Amino acid sequence: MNIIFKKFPLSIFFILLLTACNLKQDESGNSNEIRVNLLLEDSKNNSFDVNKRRTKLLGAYNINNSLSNGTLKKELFLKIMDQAINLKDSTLFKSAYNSGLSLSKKLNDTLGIGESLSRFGNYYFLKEEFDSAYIAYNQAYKLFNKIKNNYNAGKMLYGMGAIKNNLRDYTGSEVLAFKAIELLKPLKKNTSLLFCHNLLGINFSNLKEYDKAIIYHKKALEYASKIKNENLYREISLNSLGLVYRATGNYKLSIDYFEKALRNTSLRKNDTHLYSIVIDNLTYTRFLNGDTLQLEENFNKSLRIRDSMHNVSGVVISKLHLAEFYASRGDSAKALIYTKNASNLAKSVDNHRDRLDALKLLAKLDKKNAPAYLEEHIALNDSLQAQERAIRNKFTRIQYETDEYIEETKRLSQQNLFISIIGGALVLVFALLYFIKRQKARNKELLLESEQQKINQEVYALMLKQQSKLEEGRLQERHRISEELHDGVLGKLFGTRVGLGYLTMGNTISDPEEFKSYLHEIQQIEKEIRAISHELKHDILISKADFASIIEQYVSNQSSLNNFNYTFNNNADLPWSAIEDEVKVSVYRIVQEGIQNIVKHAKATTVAISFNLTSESLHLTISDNGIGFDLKKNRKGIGLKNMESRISKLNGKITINSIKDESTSIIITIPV
Amino acid sequence: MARTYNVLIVDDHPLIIKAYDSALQHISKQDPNVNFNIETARDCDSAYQKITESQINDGIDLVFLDIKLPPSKDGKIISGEDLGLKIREEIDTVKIIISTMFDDNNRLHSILKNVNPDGFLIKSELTPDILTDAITTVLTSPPYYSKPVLKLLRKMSTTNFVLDSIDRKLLFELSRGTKMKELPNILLLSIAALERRKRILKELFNVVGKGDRALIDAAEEKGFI
Repeated sequence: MNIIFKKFPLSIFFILLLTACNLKQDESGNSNEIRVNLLLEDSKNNSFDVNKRRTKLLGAYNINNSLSNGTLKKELFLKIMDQAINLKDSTLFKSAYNSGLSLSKKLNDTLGIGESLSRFGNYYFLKEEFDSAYIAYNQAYKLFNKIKNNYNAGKMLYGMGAIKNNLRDYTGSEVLAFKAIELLKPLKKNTSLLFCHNLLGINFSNLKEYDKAIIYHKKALEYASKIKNENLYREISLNSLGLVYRATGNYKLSIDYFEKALRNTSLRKNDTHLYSIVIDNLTYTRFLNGDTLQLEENFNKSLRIRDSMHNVSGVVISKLHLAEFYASRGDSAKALIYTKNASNLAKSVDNHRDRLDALKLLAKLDKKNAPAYLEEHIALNDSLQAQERAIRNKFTRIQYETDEYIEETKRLSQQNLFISIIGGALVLVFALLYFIKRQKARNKELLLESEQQKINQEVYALMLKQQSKLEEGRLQERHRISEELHDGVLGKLFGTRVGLGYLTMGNTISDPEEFKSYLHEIQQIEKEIRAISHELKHDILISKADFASIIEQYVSNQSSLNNFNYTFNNNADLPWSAIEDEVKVSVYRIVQEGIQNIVKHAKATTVAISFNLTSESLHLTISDNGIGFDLKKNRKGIGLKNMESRISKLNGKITINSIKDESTSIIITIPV
Repeated sequence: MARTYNVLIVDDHPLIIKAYDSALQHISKQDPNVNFNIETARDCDSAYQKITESQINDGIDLVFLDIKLPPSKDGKIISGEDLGLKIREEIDTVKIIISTMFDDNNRLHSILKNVNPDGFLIKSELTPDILTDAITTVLTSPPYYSKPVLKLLRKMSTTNFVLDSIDRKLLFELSRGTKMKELPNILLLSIAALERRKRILKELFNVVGKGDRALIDAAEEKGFI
């Protein structure tokens, strides 16, 4: 019996709670949007009758369908869904739900999908199709959890807890409520926390742990005092506390709480339903407490209110209470009529639990038919239990799936971590490999460079050697000339001078013949000096040939080693010594490279090397009559690349011509 | 009193031989009492032969000796300096007039010391008058030294120390720019020994702590190079 008392107020506020967050309104937007909002407001207007409100809502839905702003449209769909639930308009709810869900999916809006699902859950919750509601809440919970929306996730947990509570799975409900509190507490969502605590209180009272139930209801009361806006949460908690105390047998306290709830004068006006419940509860408690004053009037007052609200379940409870009251007064006929009436009413609305109570009461009142009633009671109870069990199994399955899902998520996240670690490691390895490769390449380059340096040095050394040889030769030549001058010419001059001196000692030439011979001697000396001067000039002339002679020597060595003929042509307008050493070394290396290529690949019999040195540029041509090569096909070997890099360093130009099986020529021009 | 001198002129240049000849004839023309019996040689071998032959004959009184001469075939006599030594060995009374183109102190010193010539003539200094004067001086009251030689002797006399031939060679080589590294091959002494000599030389020339150039400059000033 208690269950029903609690269920209905809970459900209504529960829906209120679940929808509360979506009431924020955006006043901006186009005229259609404003129209949708206006129609929504109209549909909420209590002064219109239900059908009119439904029509207004349908209008809102239709206009909303034509809106283009996706996010806004989705928000409005959610509002329409809420309102459809309030107005109990199933068709419109389903349309709005389908539109809202597909729109959210299209927008890839997880929050929107979750919120649509939560509305779906609400809808079925109110229809008491708990398994559908549970599935919807569960799905919504998963989505909210995924996007870490703890507030909505907590609310979904609460919804599932409420369902479990309804199905008498109190421990399951307790677990979910605690989970919900865990999520909601850091967010300080007082309303939601109030409901969670209320739920816990109900659970514990059903588990007959009344101390705990009182604690949680009192906590709920605390939260209620924290909530500033006008509401009746406090009265709900007070009613709950009253019920708990009644269950413990503490009727006095229980009555106190119910009366406290009734002290709020706005209760009757704002929540007539709750008001009727509290009055019924108060009256029944007083009846249990042995009070007699105004019991019948108050029972009937509650019954009248419930009847006027078409609250069948409430009517059933009121009638059962009245039946008990009449039975206690000994008016068993009246009691029986009320009980039967209640039983039939309960049956007509499928309110099985109240019907069970009714059957129990009937068995007690109608001793004659008691076995039949008891049998019916047992059968109904069994079938209800079976049904509940089935649903609970379903929930377990869902829970299991959820656990599995969580496990899967965990596994996937672990996998993700694993993959990212491996990926990172791979990237690191590749980076390392890349660096090693680059380092290697650089090393190779350096090695090559140092090798080239070495070769350059060799060439320099060669040139220096040549230079020093030349210098030595020149020095020797100079010594020779100096000696010649010293010994030959000077001696002769001395002899002639002294001889002539003696000849002219007496102011006359004593011997003309001898004088002539001295003159002749002087002429000889002249000739000698001329010869020496020629030698000196020659000496300078040889120095002109220096660099070219190194090259020629190299080519001639190679020709004798590798059996080819060569022609060497050196047209130098300038002395080679005027050329920078860098250029000379490069030219030497290029000739070396060229000759090496010819020896290795060309199979040439004749090689021609020619230099043309002008004041502007140095031309070098190396040509052979070998087999040639295809310039396009052949990848450039390191030799050619070296040549090119050397030439480009000197701002020069290189041209390679090759005719297959005929000749190859390399023409190089370097500015001087 | 008439006197006839046996003269040997050793020079590889016929013209120079002729010049000496002219000089001797000029002297005998001036002083009829003096006659010259002239022999000539143009290389070391023939000169040495003439000298040994003259022992058998009348001997030789005067030798004109050039320093730069074609060496003997056996390679034992390579210059006039060597020949001079030989002549001094063979004939102790002979008068030697050295005439040379060289005027570097080292060479002059070496010749002075080894040959101890009665006349020392530098060819570039010579004129017919000087040559005549030189020959008569050597014949009557030797020695006759040309001006560069006298200058050298003067320098040497003012120096209160004596350098041996190795020191001189060392200085000479250094002045030619020969490296210390190469010196052991030339002077046949170890580097350490040469360094020691150099140090002592620097002390003598009062250039301690200064470079080789300072040493060479000082040596040149004192006439050792």
